[in-house]
Amino acid sequence: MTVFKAYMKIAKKNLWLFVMYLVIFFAVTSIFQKVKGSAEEESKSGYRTESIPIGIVDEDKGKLAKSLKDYLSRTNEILSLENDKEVLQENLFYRNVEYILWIPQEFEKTCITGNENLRVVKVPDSSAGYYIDQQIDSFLNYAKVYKAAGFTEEETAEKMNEVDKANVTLADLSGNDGKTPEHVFYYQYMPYLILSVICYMLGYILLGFRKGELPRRMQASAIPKRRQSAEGLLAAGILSLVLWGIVTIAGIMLYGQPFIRSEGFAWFLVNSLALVAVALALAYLCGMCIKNSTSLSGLVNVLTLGMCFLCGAFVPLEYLNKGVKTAAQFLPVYWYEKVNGILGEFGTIAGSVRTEVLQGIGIQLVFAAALVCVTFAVSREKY
Amino acid sequence: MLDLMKYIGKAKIRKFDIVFWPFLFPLILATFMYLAIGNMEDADFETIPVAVVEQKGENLEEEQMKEAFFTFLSEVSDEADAENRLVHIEEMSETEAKKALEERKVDGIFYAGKEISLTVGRNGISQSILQILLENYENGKQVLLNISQAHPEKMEAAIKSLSEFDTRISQVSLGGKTMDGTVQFFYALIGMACLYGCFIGFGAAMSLQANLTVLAARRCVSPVHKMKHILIEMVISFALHFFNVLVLLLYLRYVLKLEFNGDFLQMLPVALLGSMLGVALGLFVSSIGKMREGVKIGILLAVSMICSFLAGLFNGTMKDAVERSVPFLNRINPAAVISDALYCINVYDDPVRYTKNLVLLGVLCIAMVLGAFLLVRRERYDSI
Repeated sequence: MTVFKAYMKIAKKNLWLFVMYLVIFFAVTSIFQKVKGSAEEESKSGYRTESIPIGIVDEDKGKLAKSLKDYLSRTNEILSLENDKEVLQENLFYRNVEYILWIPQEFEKTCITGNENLRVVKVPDSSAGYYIDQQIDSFLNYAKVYKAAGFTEEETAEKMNEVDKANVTLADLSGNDGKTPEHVFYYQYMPYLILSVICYMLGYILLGFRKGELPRRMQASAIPKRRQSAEGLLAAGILSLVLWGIVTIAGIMLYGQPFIRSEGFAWFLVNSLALVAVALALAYLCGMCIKNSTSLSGLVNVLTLGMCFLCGAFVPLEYLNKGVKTAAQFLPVYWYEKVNGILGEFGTIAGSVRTEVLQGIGIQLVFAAALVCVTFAVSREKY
Repeated sequence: MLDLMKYIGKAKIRKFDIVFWPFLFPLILATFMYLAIGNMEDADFETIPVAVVEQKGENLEEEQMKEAFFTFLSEVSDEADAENRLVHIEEMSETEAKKALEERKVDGIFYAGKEISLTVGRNGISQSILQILLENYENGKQVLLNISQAHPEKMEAAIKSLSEFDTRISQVSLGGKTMDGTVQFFYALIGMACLYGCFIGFGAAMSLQANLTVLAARRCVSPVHKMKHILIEMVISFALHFFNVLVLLLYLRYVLKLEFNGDFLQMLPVALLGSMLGVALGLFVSSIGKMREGVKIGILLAVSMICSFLAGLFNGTMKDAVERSVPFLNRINPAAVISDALYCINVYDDPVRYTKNLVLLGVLCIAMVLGAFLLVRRERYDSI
């Protein structure tokens, strides 16, 4: 097992890289999760209304203005802002607020009795904008109706907040109560870690085997070529399985019982294993094509970042535009993320959902096989 | 002198490290980011498909209520051009509707019966809009009920006012040139690109410091004055990276057509100082001590990545979050200063803040260049 041992020796030398990527991965995942987690923490299970941060400049400070603010704060988050255009612009730009509303002085006179419109700033044609528009319109129009019916400002203000919540039920189609389990995000970012680490590791190993006279000496050795490749494959496979084992155990430790007990658990493992196969095949191809370690890091970065951006690892698939998604279907990570999305959404994997999951995993394996064929062709050309 | 410049320049652009990281990589990353998030946030609204299931009413009153709800719905969904419709309504049987909900063909089901209720398949903004619609309708009912109890004589006026239900808001501008928050990722990306000049600085240090490479040692004993070497290396490196950043800016502005529509002349000093800063950073770090090449590259990468991260390269609200908690960090983080200066040019015209950023950038840049210069000059080696 000389070849096998040599693989392990080179891998051991690059252990720092392995550790570095793991640290970065866990740090970034936990930061993103913190950001996401704090937003979803208070939310109960079942149906919940979207909350949009609204900035309000209140120059009226009257009862009706307060009533409008209370009305909006039933579903949204309200931030009181000063009337300073620069500050407002910056808050909107960094999305501390997604909607800005001015309540003018003498609000009741100008907007309810009078016919002046309320001034707002929103992102044009955004869903969030329409959502808040509806709420403000409803308040203003009904306040006008009360006014027409002879209610005073105080009475109107009071009545407007006696509104009942609509009767909404969430049909729990997915079986996870309308919430995305946390481990889905963990698995969503995982392609970056797996692809980078496996490509770097194998890249360095294959580079090592091509140094100087080594290839010729190996050709002349008593160990047949087939045996050499088999040992190499075994070593690479074991190293990748170790990586997969570490991330799986870390996942189990981080997300505990809810993760293990979820019906998707086994599927998450299978899906990530399919990704490991793809990464391994891709890494072999990369290792064949590069000449030195600088071009290795260039190639690995472009490949992994590219696939992660375009296939939904960094930005969820649902936010990507159609053209990009269509193009991404020709990349294996897309199918990984697609399966991941399905597993996150559906609590029970059966019927057509199951077929889709199997299909996604199957396509990844086909990609892996295709990459292996290309690698063979390339290596035949080269050596 | 000119010869030396020519050859140093040529040698630089033939090195993979110096061409790839500071020049190609930001362009590639910009393209990926553009594809992934470039058109993400603006105008994500699409007409919401919704099913209505009619349930048999038991008496005339219920039938009337249902009628009223249908009229209400047809009013909301009735917009002259189909593009701007808020909802699209389809009447279905209960089983059809459930199937459609499951297949995501509709976002919700209104059950119009004794009580009107909404069923949705998941949580989201479209579903919340449907909820608000239903609440608006229920509100209307409540309003009329309240009026009929308190001021029945004014019912007519109230109904007349209700029939004038109209949009009562108007969109105004804040004076900013864009509200597209995603563009801030690209401002941070320019910050990163500037800092990636450190790879060029690293290369320069490697060919200047005799204790680092053989090439530098040879150059040290050559009859060319050391000062000349240092100056030429620096000038060529600065020029090269300034060119890199300019290409990136032009690419973002004219090819990807992102919000870089401010005065291009104002962006030039930012690009110039930013690129110098990056190169000087590389020169400075690489000249300290005798650490291994890999370690120095590691430090450079870590510094530039942490700076870009804090300037918002991976998370849109990062820079603003830092501004709130540790504003000082935003003043000394070159990537954040660069990104802020670009914000002033392209989003909100603020000459004072822009000038302040330029001054900050200048100070940081001079500090780095001086530091690097002091480290590489007058280094003498014993003859052995």
